[in-house]
Amino acid sequence: MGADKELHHIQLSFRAVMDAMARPGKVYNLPSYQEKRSSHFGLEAPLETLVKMFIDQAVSFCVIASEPTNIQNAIMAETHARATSQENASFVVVAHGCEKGLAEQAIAQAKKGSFLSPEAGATILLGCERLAFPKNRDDIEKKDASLYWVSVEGPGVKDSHVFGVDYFDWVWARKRREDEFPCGIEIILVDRQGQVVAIPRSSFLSVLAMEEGKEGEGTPWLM
Amino acid sequence: MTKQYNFAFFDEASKREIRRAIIKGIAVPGYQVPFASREMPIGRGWGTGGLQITLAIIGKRDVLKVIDQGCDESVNAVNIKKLIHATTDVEITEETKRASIIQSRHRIPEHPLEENQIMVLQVPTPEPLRHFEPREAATRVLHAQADYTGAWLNLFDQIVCFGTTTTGADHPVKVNQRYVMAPSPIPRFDNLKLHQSPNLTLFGAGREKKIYAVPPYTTVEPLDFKDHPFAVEDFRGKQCTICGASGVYLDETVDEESGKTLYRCNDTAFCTQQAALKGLI
Repeated sequence: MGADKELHHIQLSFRAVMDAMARPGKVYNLPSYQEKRSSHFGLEAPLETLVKMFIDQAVSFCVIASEPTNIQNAIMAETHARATSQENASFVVVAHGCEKGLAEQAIAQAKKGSFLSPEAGATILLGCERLAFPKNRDDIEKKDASLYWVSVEGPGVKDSHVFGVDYFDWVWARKRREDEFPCGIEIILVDRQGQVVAIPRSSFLSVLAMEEGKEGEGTPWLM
Repeated sequence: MTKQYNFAFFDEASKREIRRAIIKGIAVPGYQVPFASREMPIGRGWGTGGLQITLAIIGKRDVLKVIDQGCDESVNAVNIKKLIHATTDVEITEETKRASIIQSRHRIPEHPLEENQIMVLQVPTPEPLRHFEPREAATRVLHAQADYTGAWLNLFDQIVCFGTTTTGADHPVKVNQRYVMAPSPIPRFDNLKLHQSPNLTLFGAGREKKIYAVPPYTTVEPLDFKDHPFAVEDFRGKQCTICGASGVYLDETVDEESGKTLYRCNDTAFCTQQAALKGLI
């Protein structure tokens, strides 16, 4: 991809992420790629776009993946950003297909900023398999074992936004942090198809429907 | 467009810096995020904060509107538009409803904004506590502790001295029940437009190196007292002499020949549109 094409691609992608952050829980699409491209970093293309959008020599980052070293080195080489531990990183990149426990741990340990500098709270770029936007109530009530429906309330949301995601352990990990606002973390979920959902620290989450047979089915859990 | 600059003037690293600050600003509504403000080809205090935000978010498909004091044709607005157009080639409009990004100083347009629009406000003094605390390090602590006594006392002093609050513009607001925020020097008339608005509002202060935001559908409450409730400028019984509009923010002028006081819409694009709809021009 030429520099000019990449520039416009990143701009359009940023607008999708900015809209997602301004309207938490709403599913947005990163612009599709017209040409086939290889990944420089060994990440899925949508996650790589987020990395290029935010990470450069001014920030620190950490990669959570089954084999993080190569990805980390590639990002360092291209962006000149500092790789650091997940407790100190401004951006924590959780690769697609990474072990769920590692993702939870990354969310649990990410830095929360301080009352003086809440902006120092980490941003988690979290790769997931599937995100979905319910077209109507039937989609939520329909038993789809591969999706959990999460409801979001707070600034940016008129009543509530509902989105589907293939796993929700990250929701528990976020809740267990018990950050006191304005401290906290931002989570930007991105699936393999380039759909994004952002959860700022100001949002309240509840899981609406559970996989059939699991405890708490259909009961909203406030988080 | 002859290409002499990177798209939207900035290098990509500068855009990343501003974009990161915007994301944090949206995540913590009303909190002033410090950022590495860039040198711009216009003087600080002339809208560099708003301009930096606009340049960091704008794309080829955007339609831009820039206003200054409600006017699309004032010097500041025209020059900002020229710079952005020269470096992006985006479409420029005066119609509020057609614009995807609206950069403004001193006004939020009369035409109600929609979800797909972004309001960018230029801010000269982003710190609402600056009147009584000149030290930046101290105001940061006050914000951290949500200690807004000074902001309340400031309004109380005005009521004691003048019987009412005297904030003509930049009346402080509380965002999402946490941060007290300077809404930029918009008139009190526009303060209420921020509350639960469907659009995203971004604030940029280039000289003070701060970016902050009000996400859509967020609670924004002007500071007031129960016995001295917040009130907007009163234009009851007055209407625009050009388009006949009432219930909008009006400028007061005096006809030098007759000595008569006249009123006209402050938002010139809105006034022109209304006059055209009524067949007056």
